Amino acid sequence: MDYALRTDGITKIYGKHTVVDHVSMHVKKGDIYGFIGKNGAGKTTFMRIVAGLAVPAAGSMELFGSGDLERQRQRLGTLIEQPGLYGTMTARDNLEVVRRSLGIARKQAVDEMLEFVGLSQAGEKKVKNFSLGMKQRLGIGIALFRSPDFLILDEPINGLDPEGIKEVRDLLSKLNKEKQITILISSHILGELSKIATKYGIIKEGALIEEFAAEELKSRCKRCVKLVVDDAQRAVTILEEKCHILQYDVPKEGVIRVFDGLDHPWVINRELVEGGIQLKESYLAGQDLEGSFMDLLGGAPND
Amino acid sequence: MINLLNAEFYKLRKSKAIYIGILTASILALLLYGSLLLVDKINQGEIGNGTAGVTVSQVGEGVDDGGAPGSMMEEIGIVGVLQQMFGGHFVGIIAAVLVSIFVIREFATGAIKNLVGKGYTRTAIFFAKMVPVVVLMLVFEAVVAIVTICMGLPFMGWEGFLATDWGDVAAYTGFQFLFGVVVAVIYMLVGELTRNLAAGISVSIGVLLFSTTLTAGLDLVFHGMGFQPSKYWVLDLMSSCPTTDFPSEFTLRGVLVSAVWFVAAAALGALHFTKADVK
Repeated sequence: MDYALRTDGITKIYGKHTVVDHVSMHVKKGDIYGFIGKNGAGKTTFMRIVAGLAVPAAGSMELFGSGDLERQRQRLGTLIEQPGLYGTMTARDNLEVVRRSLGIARKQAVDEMLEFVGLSQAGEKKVKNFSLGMKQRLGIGIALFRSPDFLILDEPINGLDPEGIKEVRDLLSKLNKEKQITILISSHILGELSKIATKYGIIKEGALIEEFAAEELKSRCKRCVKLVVDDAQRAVTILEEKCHILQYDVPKEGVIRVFDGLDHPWVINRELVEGGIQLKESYLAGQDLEGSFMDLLGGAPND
Repeated sequence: MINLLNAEFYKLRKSKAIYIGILTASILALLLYGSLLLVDKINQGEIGNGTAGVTVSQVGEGVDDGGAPGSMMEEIGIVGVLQQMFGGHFVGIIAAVLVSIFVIREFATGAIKNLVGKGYTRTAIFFAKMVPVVVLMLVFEAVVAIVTICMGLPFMGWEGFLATDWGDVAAYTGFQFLFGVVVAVIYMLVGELTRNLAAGISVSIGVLLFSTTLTAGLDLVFHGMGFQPSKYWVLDLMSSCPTTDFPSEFTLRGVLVSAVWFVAAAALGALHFTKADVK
């Protein structure tokens, strides 16, 4: 399989604290990989390791199937944490610095990039006078300057207004579809992420606890009857034998989600109670995306 | 590396702080001449010391306003003013600020992330930053020297100006350029280690002002062994550089000590930059 990024047991330790704990991530070429985790979960540190800004304590990594990271990193475009901009310079000068450092001969590339990220009117404006959204767009412009094959974006829509968020989302979708750019993106705005991501990775306390495709997420968000019981194992037997329900799952101990028989949930309740199950809660739930992530993360997002 | 240098020199050209720093140093030179002129006027009895509450003293002693015949301006001469500028920390303090801004803003703004991991080795990135730092220091010192020399003409008059020993001026300035470059690389090392603008400027100025006090203390400690550490510290050489009759021993020691500190500071800085994470 063609991977843009494949890591194996990447670990980063600061003092006694393991910030990234044996992360093995798989980002296929063409993926838009949504990287999700609470603040301090290790997302940014992991992205910094991939970008070459930090050195891992353990583990290995391949970019585009090669271990020659220094060379392959030339194919990366990165925007990690806040964009690296010189506030006292204009947007044009900032891009000019990048153009020169990357050895791009075409001087027009600066104007083209300003146009591309919608800052052509603000090219002569000093960056310190930019709004947060304009800075983010300029940061994305810098990340895109060398036509990368793989974009790594850490919270790129943070601080943007709804219009700015939509612009960035559309831009990323366009880059992915038209230029086949692979994207690894972290965001706390899960609803927005779900509009573009094709794959997700969930990081919790430094460990990548799950990777799954967007289709799987959709199936997890189906409408269901959510049951909270004292003995899930016996309850499941009753559901199968008495109610003939086979579509269910047990996301965690004592919780059952039933996807079948939603038009007569009282039957489920009656059979469970008659079967001696202590039914603590029973309600119709159409779990949304955030709820699904919260289940995985084990609490409110971004807390 | 050429691309990196191209970008670094572009940043240097676009930095307003650099121009302000050079202008400030030039104004300091003008003020220094102004002070000397004031002393001369008091010495010659044209202005009474203490007039309008302005009292001028020299090394803790009052300046005689009884009409002393000599002129301090002539006595000090252009090379003396240069000594005040270079050896008296004027240039060093402003250079500490300029180099710190140029180096540390990469970390403060996060712009260093636009370079690291883009196919260049970290050593190349570090040395691509060091070259413009050295050039910046040389340009800065050259402007200060030129301004100081040119100001000498209106303040000293044509006669005094022509009486200057230009060989001494050239030799003294050359030494200061050499030491200044080394000091700039030490400032760069401090910037790389601290990566914080306030800390970088403070520590750099601290090194400039207090390291010679430390070496003086060490001189006392090692006095019995006949070893004088201050002879091997570049900032001591900078402030104790002779302005005339340059002994060959000083020349040789100056060049060797400069080379050693230059290489040591550059190597340490590059090593740290190579090993440390970029945040």
